[in-house]
Formats: sequence, structure tokens, C-alpha cells
Amino acid sequence: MSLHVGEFEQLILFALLRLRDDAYGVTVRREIEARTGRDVSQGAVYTALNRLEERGFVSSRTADATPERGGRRRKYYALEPLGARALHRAYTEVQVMASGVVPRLAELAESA
Amino acid sequence: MSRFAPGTSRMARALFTVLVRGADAEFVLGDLEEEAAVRVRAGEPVRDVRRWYVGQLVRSAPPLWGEAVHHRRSDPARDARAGRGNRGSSMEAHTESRTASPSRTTPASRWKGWARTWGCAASDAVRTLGRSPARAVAVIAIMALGVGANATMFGALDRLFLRPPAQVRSPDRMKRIFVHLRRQSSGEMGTQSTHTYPDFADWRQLDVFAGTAAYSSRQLTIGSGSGAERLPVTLATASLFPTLGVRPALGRFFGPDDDTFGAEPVAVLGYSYWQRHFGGEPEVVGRVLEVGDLSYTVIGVAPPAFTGVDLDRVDVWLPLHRAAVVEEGGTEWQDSRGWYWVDVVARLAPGVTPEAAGAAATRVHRNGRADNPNYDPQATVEMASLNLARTGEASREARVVPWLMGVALMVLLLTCANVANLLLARAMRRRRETAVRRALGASRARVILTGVIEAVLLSLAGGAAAVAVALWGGDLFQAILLGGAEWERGVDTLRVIGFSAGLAVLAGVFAGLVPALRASRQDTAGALKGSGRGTTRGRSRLRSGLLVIQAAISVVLLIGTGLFVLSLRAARGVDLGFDPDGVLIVRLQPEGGYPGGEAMTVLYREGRRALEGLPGIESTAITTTVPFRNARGIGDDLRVPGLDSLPRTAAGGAYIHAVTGDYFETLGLDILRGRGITESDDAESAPRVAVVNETMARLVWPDGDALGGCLILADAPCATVVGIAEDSHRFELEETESMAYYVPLAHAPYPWPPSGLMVRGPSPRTLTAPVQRRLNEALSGVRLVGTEPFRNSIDPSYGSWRLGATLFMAFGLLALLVASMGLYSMLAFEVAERRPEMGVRSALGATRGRLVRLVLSDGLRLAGLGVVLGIGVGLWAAARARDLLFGVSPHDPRVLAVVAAAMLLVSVAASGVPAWRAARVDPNETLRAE
Repeated sequence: MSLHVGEFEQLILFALLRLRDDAYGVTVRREIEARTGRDVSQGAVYTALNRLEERGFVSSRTADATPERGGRRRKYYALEPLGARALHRAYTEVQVMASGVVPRLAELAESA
Repeated sequence: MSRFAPGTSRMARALFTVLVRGADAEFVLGDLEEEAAVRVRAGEPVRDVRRWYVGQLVRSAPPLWGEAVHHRRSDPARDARAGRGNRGSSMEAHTESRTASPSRTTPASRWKGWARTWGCAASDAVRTLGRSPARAVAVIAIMALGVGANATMFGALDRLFLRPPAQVRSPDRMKRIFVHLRRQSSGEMGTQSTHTYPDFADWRQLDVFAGTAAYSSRQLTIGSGSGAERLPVTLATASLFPTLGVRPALGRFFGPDDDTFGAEPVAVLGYSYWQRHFGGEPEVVGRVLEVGDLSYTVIGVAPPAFTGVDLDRVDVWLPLHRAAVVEEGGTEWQDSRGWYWVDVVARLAPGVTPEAAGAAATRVHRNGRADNPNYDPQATVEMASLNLARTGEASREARVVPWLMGVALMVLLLTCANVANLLLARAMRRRRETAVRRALGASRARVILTGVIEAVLLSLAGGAAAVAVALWGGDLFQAILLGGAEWERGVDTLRVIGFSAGLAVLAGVFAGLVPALRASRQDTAGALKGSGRGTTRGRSRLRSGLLVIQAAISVVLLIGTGLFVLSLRAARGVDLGFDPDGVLIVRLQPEGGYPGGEAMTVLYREGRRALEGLPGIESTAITTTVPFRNARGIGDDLRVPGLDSLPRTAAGGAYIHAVTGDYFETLGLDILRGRGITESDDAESAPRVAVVNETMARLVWPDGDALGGCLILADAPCATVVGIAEDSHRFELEETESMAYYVPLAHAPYPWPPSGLMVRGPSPRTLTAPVQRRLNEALSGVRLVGTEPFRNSIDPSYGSWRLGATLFMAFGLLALLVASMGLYSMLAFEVAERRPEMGVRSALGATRGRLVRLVLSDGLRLAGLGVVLGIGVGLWAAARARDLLFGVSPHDPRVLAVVAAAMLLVSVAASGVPAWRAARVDPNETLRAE
């Protein structure tokens, strides 16, 4: 069973980690937007979360509807141990590759 | 309830909910509303928030929708295993799932296995087709032609022979009445499809019939003045409608009370006439319509597509007894056994066989005719099926159609053979790929299925395209096919589509099965190991055979073309005696009913005088008979002194024409000896003269000279024969000789009305308008001035040969094209395959010339075989179709020679290019590749 997670999925998993109990559609999207500046669509967030859930990396639960949401329910997500493992591995991989060459990377990026 | 979604937001949200169903939609929408609220609370302007909202909706829909589709297709467990989406080929998936699940031979799983095989085969087929769209399009086009030709022919065939007349209840119990008898005049056997009223009355009282009806169809003038038209009208007894079991679309049909001599005249409109002329308005009932010489009140409309039992369109139905008083000039017809004018149909009573009904009808018919010693006592009545063309003996056009159906089927065969060859060639090329697939576990059934499905898909697509064109152009095709007949047009769409679909599937299976079988039987190991070099012989006998068949079919079709073209030329070359080109025929119809023969003659003479001096007219003449239109005889009222009885010809008694001066000049009929009829002859007081035709001169005065001879017409004083005219045709292109004589109009033995005013000019078509104008001005009390080029009466006679020539030519050239393309592609493919062999030969010293000759001789051999086969089949078929031809022998050597030469020439051309390529093979290059 593969533990590979794509780059966007990694951002989402990190968001779940940060948000703890408070991770649902709105908060996850805003977290990513606020921290990385990326303006992602709500639909893309859900799509990614569904895929992660299928693979067992996250789990979900639904909460009661509120009038503020036009009478619609909220879906909360939580990071599962398997997902944490996948995220950890992905992050470590990047780190290993980046070790020692970040300054040079910055230089190269600046020269563009 | 949201405060942020007026207008566009609402629309966007609606669209979103349509695309994204289920729980996801709920969560996403909820999130967006929540965040929108948060933003507004944070101070963002509402407009910006709304814009953000709509943007989010639009961007979120695609990923979620794609997600949903993906979910429906894939197996989540497999996704988990693969780690990503389902992108593998269906073959891999097929193989994988086969190995993954343990094999269980329960019926359910066997069904599933079969279903999966079919599904994979289908998707394989589609993918293969998609890979080479150009080839697929080419094959579709070829199939479209093959299936389309058949669909069109079937439509015509169906209409003529298979489909019973529209709206008739239980058509198999309806019969036409024919009488088979030995004719009094010629002594030959003939069939009578038209009868006298007393004959009909005899049959009407039999109990073997549940109902009988009589009808007579003709062209009558409807309306008057500038809006007047001559349209098809049928006089029918009131019993026709209930006997056929038909219901009116509007109003009612005429009943027995309307169908008497003195009844108020009523009429029923044909459905298409009602649509055309009254726009389908219901208020047409009660309107008064002038039809022929009487005014009728409209009481109803017939149902759509109803044409009685014949094929021709009927615009108005009139009650027979009432209308015939006027149209048949009185009521004499009711008792006369010499007045033939009605067709009769009858519905068999329940439980009665056609034979029993025929016997009863024969008995009563013979009884009725018993007091006429000259009438054939062995005359027999036949109860015939409805599905014959109008005259009861299928017209020549109708008889051509089954042959054309055969032709169309041949074309289909040809296209199948061609497609099969193409597919076979491609299967050969893909030997390795097929072998690989088989090695990886694809079953033989699946490989075969794929091939067949591919071919069926192509032919279905071709068939669909063809049917679309055939239906859309259906009326056009049928008009070309059987042009001239005024049909209630309308193809039974469902039957044509059904037929085409069935044919397409059959064609596809046939075309795809053979290559698929061959391909699947490949020696797997050999194909995988082999370098792709062909076997030494190179080509299968199957492919050669297919090519020979294609060539043969082309040859047969081209022979047909040649024979019909020659028939057409012969028909056009027939010397009619007169010269129809340059003649316009004018017919006058007075207002207020038929005024009698004398008044009509006066009217026509006035008209002729009025045309004097009109520019563009060379000469004019009035006549009581117009060739190809009508003919008259006076039987025993013609006597020649010194002869007890006149000689007889097979064509019947001597025919009389009462004409004015200039008749022979206007008609272009030559006077061989003596002179023609002049203006001075055409007066009451003038001495009586006559002109006879060659045949009459020869038969009546065999020893002496006709000139100076004497004709006594209806006890009038002797009419001296002053001239002998050349023979001319009366009615048809194929006629036996008959006797004819011409007298001045003023001396006509009976007050017949003139049949036409003939006008000769260099360009009849341009005369139409000026003549009509002049006559309308000069003549008062004229209701209709009808003009028609004389040619038009004669041209329909060529119809069937023109039809045959056109269609055979179209199909023949098509076949030739397809066959030559087939030959070319096969040879080209082979040359490519045999490059190494060619290279070796070249290296071993074979000259260019030899290589070219090698390929050419191949192509010519195949074509030659095809020609021989085709000529054999063609001669056999032509002999069977002998009576469809005119003036040409079915074995005409010119046609055979031309066709054979054409075929060989085309084959040389088709083989030429590959041959030339073969000659250019560089031996070094090919040897290096080895």
C-alpha cells in the first residue's frame, strides 16, 4: 500500500494537524489561503479530502446544521495515524533532498 | 436563508446543485455560505463577497463532478492497490481481474465473464477505430453507399410490391377483379383490368363478396380561370370506402344516397390536397368546388396517405353515379356492355377462398355475356392481389425495380468484399500485436468478437448515414427512380430503418467475420518470432478471391449500364413518323360544362384564327386525335366499295383523324404521294377527300393504287383519296402497324370535339405564355387554356430505360471505383510486404522491366478472372431481363467488348502505381535490412 501523498494533499494534511478539532471545509481552506497565499476552491479541498479519506489517511464526522449555513451540516476531518505517517515520510523526503542546498536554492531562485 | 445570493449567485448555485449531487454539495455550499457571512462581518463589501462566492462555486464544480464520475467507474479497492486513478488499459484490467478473482463456474459468473468479454471487445474495437479515424471514415463511407443503395431500393420496392395500400383494413382479403379472355379483334389472349358497368353490376350481387366497389381515375380540371389546374380525380361508388374499411379524417364520405344520378353533387377531398389548397382548415366542409364540368359541395376529407387501391395520388373523390352523368356524357354507360371504363375491387366474404370467389364471378360474368356470340365463352375472372401496379400488369418501371434491388444487393456484396479485404490486410499487418494479446491471455473469442464488432460498428455508422440521406432525400430518390408517377409520397420510415439496420449488421458481420477468423487463427509463436516478412506466396487465396468477385460485380453492373444505354438510344431513335419536337399542344376547356362537339369545334377554330400572326408560330392545325393521347375508330361505319369487309390488323380497326389544313406540316408527318389536307378541303361544301397511311394503302388497295380510291364514311358520299402519308405511331414506342386515315374536320362523320390545337414553332416553350395570353384575350367563355409541349407526352415512354441507364451507370461506376481501389490497395500492400523479396530478385539481376511486369501481370490476372466471371454472370442475367430492353440484344458484343476493355484498362492503372514502386526498390537497402 502506497504512502505517497501529492503536494496539495500535504498542505491539507498539515492544515488538519494545525487545526486539530476545528478542521472542516471553511477552516481548512482559509488556513491554506492565509498561510501559503494560495486561493484554492472549496471543491478542490473536498475532492482531496475525500481521496485521503478513501485511503484511510483522514477520517470524518458530520455535525449539526446551522442556520448560518442555510440549514446545512458541517463535515469535520481528523488526521489518522496512517495519514500522519504518510505526511511525515513525505516531509522527511523533502528535507533529506533539501539538506544543505537551501541557500543555493534561494540564490538560484533570486537570479530568475 | 442567505442574504448573499440574489441574481447570478442564485443561478450559479442552481447550476452547481445540478452538477454536484449528494452529500458533497451540501457541505461545500454550507462552507461557502458560512465563509461569506464571516467575510461580510469582517467588513468586506457585499459585492466583492458575492463575486467571491460565485467564483468559488464555478471553480468547485468541476473537481467535484469529476470525482463523482470517477467514483462511479472505478473500484475503490483497486484504486487503493494501484495508488492512483484507473488509467490502465481495459485489457490489463481484464487480465488482472481474471487473475485476481478465483474462477468459479456458476452460471452467474459465467454470464458475467461473457458480458465482460463483450464489453472489452467492444471497447477494444472502439479504440482501434479511434486510432485511425481516416480509415474508419473511408470504410463508413463505403458501407454507407452499400447499405444506402439498398435502403433506397427497398423503399421503392416496398411501396410498389410489398406494402399494401395505406389505410386499407385486412388488405389480403381485398382483391382486384381481372378478366382473362381471347380478344375479339386480334384473337390473342389478353387480360382486362377495366370493365363495363353491367359487368360490375353482375358481380355486385354475389354473396361470395362482403362488398364490391367500382372506380375510375382520371385528370379533371379543378377550379377555373387562372387558378385552374388539372389534377388527379377518382370517381368511385359509395361502397368503396366501407369496403376498404377506411374512416374519413374530417367530415364524412359520400353514402348511397349521394351516389345516385339525381343527387346533390358532393365531393371528398384528398388529404394532401386539403393541406395544400385549404391549409388544413376544418371549415373546408361546405365549400363548393368546381371539378370537371360540375360544382360539388365538399363533405369531408380522406385520411392521410389514402389513395384507394392504386398508387397514384388522388386529390378529389367524386360519387361515381352522379359524376359520370357529366363526365361520361349521360347514363348510357349503365347498360352498355361495350363501354369499358371502371376498375373493380371486391372484399372476400369471411371463409371464402379467392378460387371459389373467382369461380362464382366467372359463372355470372359468362351468363351476363351469353347473348354476345363474339365474346369469348371461356372468359375467366381472376381475383388478383391488390399489390400490382395500376394496370394490373406491372408497368415496365415497376418490373425494373426488383432487378434494381438485385443490383443494389450486388453493390452491397461488393462493398462487403472490399471492406473485408481492407480489414484482412490490416489484420495481417497487426499480426504481431494480435499475437502479443493472445499470449497475454486474450481469448480467441474475444479477438474474433473485436473484429466483428469493429466491422459491425462501421457498417451501422455507414447505414445510419445512408438512411438519413435516403430519408431526407427519400422523396427525391423516389422521384428520380419512378419519376412521372404522381405518388402519395411517403416512405414507411420504420420499415426502411429496420431493414437497413438489419442489413448493416449482416454486412458488418460478414465483412468482419472472415478477417477476424483468419487473424485469430494466427500461429502465435511464429508471428512473434518472425521479422514481419511475408510468406513466399505472399497472398492468401481468400484475398485474391475477394478481389476477383469485386471485379466480376463491376463487370456485371457495367454490362447492365451498356445495355440500358443502348436501349435508350434505340428508343430515342425510333422513327415515330411525326416530329414531336417544336410542337405545342393547346387544349381549351369552356366554362359552364361540356357544350357538345360542334360548339367545341367552333371554339377551337376561333382559337386557331386568333393565333394567326403571332410571332414565333410556323403553322397551326386542329385535330380530333392527338398521338400518344387518344385514338378513334368508327368500325363498320367505314366502308370501301368493292370490299365486303376491311382487312384487320393486330392493332385493331382503322383509326380516323379529322383535321384542318396544315395538319401534316404542323405535325411533321410526310406525305409520300399526292397531297395533304388543305384549308380549302376543310369546308362543308368542299368535295370530300381523304388521306390514308401507307399501311392502309397497302392493305386495302393491294393491287391497285390507293390514290383515287374511295372511302365511304357513315353513308356519306365517296371521299376520294388524294394522298398517302407515312405511317406513324399511335400510342407507344413499340407498336405493330395499324391503318389510319385523315379527313377534313368539316367532314368528320360524328360531331367529335377536337382533341387539341397543335402549334409548331422553333421554340415551343417560349410560345406558351404568348399563346395563352392571346387565347385568353380573344376567346370569351374559356375556363382553361392548357398548353404542353408535345414532347412531354412522349418522354415518359423512355422512362424505364432512362431509369435503368442512370442507375446502372451510377452503380456500375461506383463498383468500378471501389473494385479498382481495392485492387490498388492490395497490390500496394503486397509490394510493401514483398520488398525484401524484390530486393533479392533485383540484386540477383532481375531488370526493372521484369519487376514491373511481375506486379502488372498479377493485377491483370485477377482483373481478367473477374472479367470472365462477370461476363458469364452478366450474359445469364441479361438473357433473363430480355424484355426490359429495347432494340438491343442481351448478348450485344459491343457492350461486352467495351466493358472488358474498360475493366482491364482500369486494372492496369490500378496496378501501375504499385508496379512502378516495385521497380524502384533499391536492392542494397532491402538486403541491408535483412
